[in-house]
Amino acid sequence: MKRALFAGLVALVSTPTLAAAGQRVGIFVGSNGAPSGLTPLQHAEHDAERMRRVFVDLGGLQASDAHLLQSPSADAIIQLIERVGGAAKMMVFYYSGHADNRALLLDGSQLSFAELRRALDANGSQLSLHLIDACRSGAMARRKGASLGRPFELDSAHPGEGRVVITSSAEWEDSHESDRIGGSFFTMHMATGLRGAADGDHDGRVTLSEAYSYVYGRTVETTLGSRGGVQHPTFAHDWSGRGDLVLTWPPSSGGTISFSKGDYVVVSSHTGRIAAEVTTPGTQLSLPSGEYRIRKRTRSEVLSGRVQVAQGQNYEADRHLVEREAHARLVRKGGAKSPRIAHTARVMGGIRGRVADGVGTAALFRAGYEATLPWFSAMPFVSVTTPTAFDTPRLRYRSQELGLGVLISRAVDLPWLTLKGGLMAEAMRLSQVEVQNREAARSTWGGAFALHAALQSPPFLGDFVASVVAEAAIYVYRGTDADREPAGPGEVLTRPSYRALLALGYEF
Amino acid sequence: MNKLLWLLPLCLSCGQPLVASEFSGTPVFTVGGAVNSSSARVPANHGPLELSVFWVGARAQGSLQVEQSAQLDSGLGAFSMTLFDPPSVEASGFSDLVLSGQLALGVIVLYADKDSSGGLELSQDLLLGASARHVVVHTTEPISADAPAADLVGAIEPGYHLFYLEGPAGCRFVDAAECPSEGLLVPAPDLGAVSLSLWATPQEVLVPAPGRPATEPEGSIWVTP
Repeated sequence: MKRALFAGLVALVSTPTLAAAGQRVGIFVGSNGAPSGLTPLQHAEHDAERMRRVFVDLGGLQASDAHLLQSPSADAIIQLIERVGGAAKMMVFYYSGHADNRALLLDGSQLSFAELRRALDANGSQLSLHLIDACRSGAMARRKGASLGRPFELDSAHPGEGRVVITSSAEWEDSHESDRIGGSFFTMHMATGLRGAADGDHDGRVTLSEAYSYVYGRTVETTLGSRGGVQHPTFAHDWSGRGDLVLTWPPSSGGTISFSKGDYVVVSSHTGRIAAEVTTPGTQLSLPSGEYRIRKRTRSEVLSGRVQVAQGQNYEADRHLVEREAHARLVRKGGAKSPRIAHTARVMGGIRGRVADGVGTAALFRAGYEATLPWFSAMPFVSVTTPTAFDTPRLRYRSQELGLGVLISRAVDLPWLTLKGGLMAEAMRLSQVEVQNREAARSTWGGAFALHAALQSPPFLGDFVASVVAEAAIYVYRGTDADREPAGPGEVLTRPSYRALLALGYEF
Repeated sequence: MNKLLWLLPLCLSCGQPLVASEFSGTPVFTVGGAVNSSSARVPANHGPLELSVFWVGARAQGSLQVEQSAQLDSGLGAFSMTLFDPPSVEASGFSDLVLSGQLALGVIVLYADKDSSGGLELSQDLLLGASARHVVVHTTEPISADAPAADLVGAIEPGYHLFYLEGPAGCRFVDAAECPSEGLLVPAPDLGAVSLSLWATPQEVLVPAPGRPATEPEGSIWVTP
């Protein structure tokens, strides 16, 4: 509902213009501390710093007007709100930390939403933008809810009046941070959006509606499968104005990186933290000058490279992706930012050597699915051999093997090739059919255990890999031994054999 | 992996064992006994010795081809012969004695397959001996007590049976077509007590000649009605 109201608001207003600097102030609060019973946060203070940097770089805030508070008390926040912003046309208040549905839970104190709203209302700035990244922060937007304001012309001199509140989650939801991205999902996506990813019309300006649409979609998408539950950012306002509020002007600072189709992650080489995640083709991201590592994920591999962003320069991300690694390699390499599992569908064909008198050399085909985990790979598979003929003094048989097994292997990644070794266990149905119908067909269950070795190529034609496979196997089955009793009741036989196979895999 | 190992003994107990290239088939009838060779002279370079059932009905149809042969490779003191298939339709020649199905009667013969043809050709091969009193019987259908064959073998179930002639055997194989009835067949109590007699010349080889029912005057099974 709130999204619908928001869309309606945006539809009613016209394209805005807004001057950049000197008219905005900001307070950015991060608090990692936690009251008793809650787990301290790891990235809240960094998130505040990250958001401050975005508004300083791109949002028209002078560094001196962008105040950063880390682990402050409630009094410190109130005092700062009262002290700054009286003459500003717009004030940005950002908070990242713990909260419940009544108050911000600071390190050693609490600041109720009511008191915070009173202080912000009394601040004197014409327009107040509140970005609250905290659990159950939707309660902060509860007072007014979404409503349409009185239309007015929004320009550099009159950005509108009132309050806009965007929270990271609904009133009943938790908000989450992630070690993988080095911050909270909400702030990560808001910062990425403000740096240009949210600029849907590519006019060089990220407006309030663009930012909210972007952060809502990306936050819901990335928290959908998280253990903590999905987050729904909320929006509310009692703002009177016409047009859409411009929050940032991405091209105005640093350099820009253009992205094509794909899932990109941009990591700052300086901080080691993720600067942005981009999934929308055509996105232009404005980033502070410095070196960044870009990783692009396709279905089967990750392309990566470094780009040195300089002031005023534009870079195409794909042109800097000079390194490529298959997902399976990344999984094995491990690390916080690597995928946890890689998938490969594999088919094999080759020769199974003679097992025994009556189970001769045959063509062997195998199909399986391989899951690659950091320490090993597991591949359940089915296999079948072509029928092979053999004659007895008065009978003519065709023997065949149908198997179901699993291969557990470990891999060593060489510069180009991957060497694999593993163990295989296979249950199989061995059958012999007398082709002249002079004897009933015979079949028995058996097993095979094998040492497996393979040499795998790097990906080719996109997502395919090829392998050469050799296996030394021991077959265990019930049969009659030609050297002993040819027509006896049978005994458990163990016979060695080998397999030589070529494999084709499709990584997905 | 451990679960698969636990399953292995269970799996291995299922189904039928696989066979190797020496496997001749599932035996359906095995007979054996002693070889009486007191007067025999088995020539050197005799070629493989074939132990066979010579089906009387095949002779009646003008063929000397034997079936169910097996090489005798355990010396001449004792023998054992295993049959893996029922006789062919051509081997049966007593359709007038049964109400339905086929009835086949045969004697066990030993010969040197000098031409390695796998069959007995009297002009080429050397007949060495035969079971003088025992007759192998096979029927594809039950023989009821009111069938003519019941006068020869009684009421029997389908499959192989071993009978023997109670009276003295005096029918020479080479003249068997003219042998009169030598008596009735009775079931052999021991499948391992067949006496296989070897003779100095093929002309001396004796075979059993039980009476053929419904023939007048009464002839043997070797007589074509």
